[in-house]
Amino acid sequence: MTMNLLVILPVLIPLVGAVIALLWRHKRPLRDAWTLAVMVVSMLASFVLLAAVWQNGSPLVYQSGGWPAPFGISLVADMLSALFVVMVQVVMVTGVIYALGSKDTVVTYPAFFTFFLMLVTGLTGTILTGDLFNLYVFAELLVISGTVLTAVSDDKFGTEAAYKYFYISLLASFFMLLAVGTLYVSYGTLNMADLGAKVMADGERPLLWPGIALLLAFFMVKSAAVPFHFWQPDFHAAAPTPVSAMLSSVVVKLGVYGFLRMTTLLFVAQAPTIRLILLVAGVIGVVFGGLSAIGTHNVKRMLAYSTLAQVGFILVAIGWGTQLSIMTAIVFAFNHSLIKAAMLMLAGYVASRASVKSAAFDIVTGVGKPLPLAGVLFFVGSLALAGIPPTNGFVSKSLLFSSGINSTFYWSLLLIGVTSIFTLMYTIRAFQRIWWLAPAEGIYTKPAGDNLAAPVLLLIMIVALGIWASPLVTAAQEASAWLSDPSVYIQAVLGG
Amino acid sequence: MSIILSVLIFFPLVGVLLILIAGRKEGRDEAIKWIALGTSVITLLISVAVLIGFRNGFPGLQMVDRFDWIPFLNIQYFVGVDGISILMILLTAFISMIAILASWTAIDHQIKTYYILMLLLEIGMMGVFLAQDLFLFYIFWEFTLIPMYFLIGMWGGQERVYASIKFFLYTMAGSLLMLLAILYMGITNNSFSVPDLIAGRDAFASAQYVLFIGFAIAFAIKVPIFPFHSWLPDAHTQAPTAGSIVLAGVLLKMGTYGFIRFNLPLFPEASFDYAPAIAVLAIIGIIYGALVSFPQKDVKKLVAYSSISHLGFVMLGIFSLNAAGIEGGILQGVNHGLSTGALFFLVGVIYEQRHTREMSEFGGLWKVVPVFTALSLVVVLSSMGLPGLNGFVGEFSILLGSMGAYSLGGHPWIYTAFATTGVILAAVYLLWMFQNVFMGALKNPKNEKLRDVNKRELVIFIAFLIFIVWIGVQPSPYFNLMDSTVSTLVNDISATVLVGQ
Repeated sequence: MTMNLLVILPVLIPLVGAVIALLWRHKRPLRDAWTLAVMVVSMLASFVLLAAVWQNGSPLVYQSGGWPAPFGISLVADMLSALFVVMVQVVMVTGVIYALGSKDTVVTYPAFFTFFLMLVTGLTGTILTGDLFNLYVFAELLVISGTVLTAVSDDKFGTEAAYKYFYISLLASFFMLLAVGTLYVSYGTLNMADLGAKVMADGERPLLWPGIALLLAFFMVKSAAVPFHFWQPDFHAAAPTPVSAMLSSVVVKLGVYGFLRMTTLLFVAQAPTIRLILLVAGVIGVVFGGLSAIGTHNVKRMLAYSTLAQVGFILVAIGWGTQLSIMTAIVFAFNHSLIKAAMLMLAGYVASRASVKSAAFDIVTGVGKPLPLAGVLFFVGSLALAGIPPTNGFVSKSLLFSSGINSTFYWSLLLIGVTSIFTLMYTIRAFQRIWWLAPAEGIYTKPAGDNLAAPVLLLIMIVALGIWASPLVTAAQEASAWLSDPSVYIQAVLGG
Repeated sequence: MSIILSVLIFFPLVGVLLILIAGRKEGRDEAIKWIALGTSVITLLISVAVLIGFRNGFPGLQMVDRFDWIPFLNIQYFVGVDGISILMILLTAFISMIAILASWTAIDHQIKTYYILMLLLEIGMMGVFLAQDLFLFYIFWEFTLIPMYFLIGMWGGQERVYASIKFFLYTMAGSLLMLLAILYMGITNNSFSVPDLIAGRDAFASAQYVLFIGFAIAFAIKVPIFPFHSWLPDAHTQAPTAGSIVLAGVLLKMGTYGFIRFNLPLFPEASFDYAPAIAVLAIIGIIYGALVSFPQKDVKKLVAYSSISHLGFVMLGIFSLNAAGIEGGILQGVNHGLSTGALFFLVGVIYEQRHTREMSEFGGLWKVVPVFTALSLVVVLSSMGLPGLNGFVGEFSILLGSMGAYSLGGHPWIYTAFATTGVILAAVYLLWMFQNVFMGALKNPKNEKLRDVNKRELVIFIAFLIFIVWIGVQPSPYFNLMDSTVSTLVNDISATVLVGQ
């Protein structure tokens, strides 16, 4: 039972941290140090949780209030959720580090770090919860903190983007509530394990398919997948750098997590149809996202569209639905989180050094000339995003192609194989513009700007996971193996 | 087990580290150059040591170094040398050294980064020619792009930014399908090792026509075979002199080497069936490259287009699928590296002084720079295949091979006949260039102040000329190196194809 307490720590620590950060909101050095400490401790807790789950060999479950499932609310950590929590927390730590070294006025707002920690709570909670309604609540927490953090942005479009996000999230919440309603009416439970078991036993209830469709739509909005992608570039480009680096890396992975749960736990018998939808949405996202990223005029927007494409690759992997491809999806999601966070931070860093603070290509062109370190980092990040050795992106791409060869959907493999060159096109073009071309009239590089520590850390991880890929790959393999048998999860929660 | 090949691949890293240490203080540019040169000379010596240890009569891989690298995916670190690659590694070591020497005064900014990239490039190229595990090969293959991208993009001419991205994207796009093909074979055979895959090629025999194309596109872009050549003139014209020397000397050979090392033994039936089509493209390349070279006004561009023509010969030789053709192809690859490398170098020497390469700016240089002119004449004659110099040996062997090629249908002499016109056309455009630049009256007063070759340039020219003459008059040691490996390969292909029929 003490082991099971570990499950709640990655949610509880940032939540408590957020409250205390609010109390200390005017004591700036204390608040900053506290936030960083909370995040590091929380990250360590999530590593411990991962190790414990792996060691345990079956999911760890925390039943809140001592009520047994399906009556109480359960927090469940299997390999998938533990790994995703580690991913979230690692990236979030770098996000805090970036924010602490940022020159944006937004980080001086008293409640900035409180909302940042709320964001972490929301994310971790959504991933660890074993109950659909609870998932909805945590996801709302995420939306609220994300909206606030964007609304206070230095960017003049911040408020507009926050509104947009808020309304689109309202739409998502609407989908989710309807989904919760229909599924509850049909099966009388919202506990995910219980629901999975009941759907497996009886897949003929009339409201099952509407429920699936609504839940799918909810997660599609969350991961900004086609056809619910339109709000994402505005939102991600306008948010403050440390926030957008989180949104475009780990927050979109929430949808990925949801798709994995839907196809391997909740609706196993219905999974082939869901997978086909994801496959098509993924391929469209890859092509459309890649082309749009090539056509943008702003580095941050480019990276936001790139997220659409990269999430597309993950959806395709989930869509192929083999054990290998699900492992690939997990590895890809993990690696992409690191890469995209690093790239957005670097884009923000360059913007912070431009004489006019902006990530538009017109402004940042040539700004990189006096910034060789950032150039090296951005270039290696570009290689990683495009899947070129010796980076973790190459591991992702090799696994993706391998699982495509193993699947039967050769058309999608060929399409994503060919279009994966788009990634290199836009990243290298951005690199050349910022670091090689001459700056425009009146644009110069400021002597100081944001701190590079966070992207340096991320890049070290990116290269390390490229050369020494086996820990992550093995963990993902384990996670995928667990997912192939839903009864593992169900039994752990419902207790046999 | 022998570590000499691994030492050969990674020795330049020592130079990189030394440069990093030396470069911590400003004003140590001279030291950095000497470190780079010293490293490349030692690498050359190591490759000579490999040559001395090389056993001629043995067809298989020698001096193998092999261990499990990523066991989860059955990926090995596996390097070895045989008759196909021995000349390539010597060429790589030689050209890398020459390129560093040729950069001595031409590169005047960001010297530290430049020489580090040069040495990294050498690592990548060596790795490509020595890797015997497909996955390892792919990693080295991609890795060579990165230093070259920076060499073009940071030290290139006016249009360098455009040329570098074009080079990068073209080659990357080509290698995507190769990666898919590599993974496919690795999955079907549970191994990426080339000898294992050749032994187990029946497992993917049904897919070999598709897999062949996956590899062929990557290599065709690299060679480049018509119509995949459009990146080459841009990259060559914009690259710094040393970049062009390495590009023409070694990087293009990675493509032709890839065909011999992978396409022929892994997909023999597909190679046989596609041979006529590739031969036709090769011949189009020979003639097209020559015709386009002729009207060029920029000397460097002329040399660049002539590469397309020369590499056409190499491809024709390889897809003759007989010993004369393949050995001629490999040797002609080396010859092209020497002759075209030397041509780029001589263009570089003029460019460094006049900052132009327009042919109309020159004329009558022989009066001002007689030694340079004489040396250039030999290089030009070598490139056009004059008997007694290296180019002739390679081309002759290729033409001989194609004449008797069973892979080219009932009338292989038709291919030979068309290809031969390329030899004549080469004489036309090269002599035309020589005449315009060196002969006639000295019209442009700006050329009066040109200096003749200095000691460093003389050393480089002599190094090139030694091999140009040596291969020309005494080619048999070179053929002996390749013989047993190539004849084993040829026998294997013909046996497989004959069984098929």
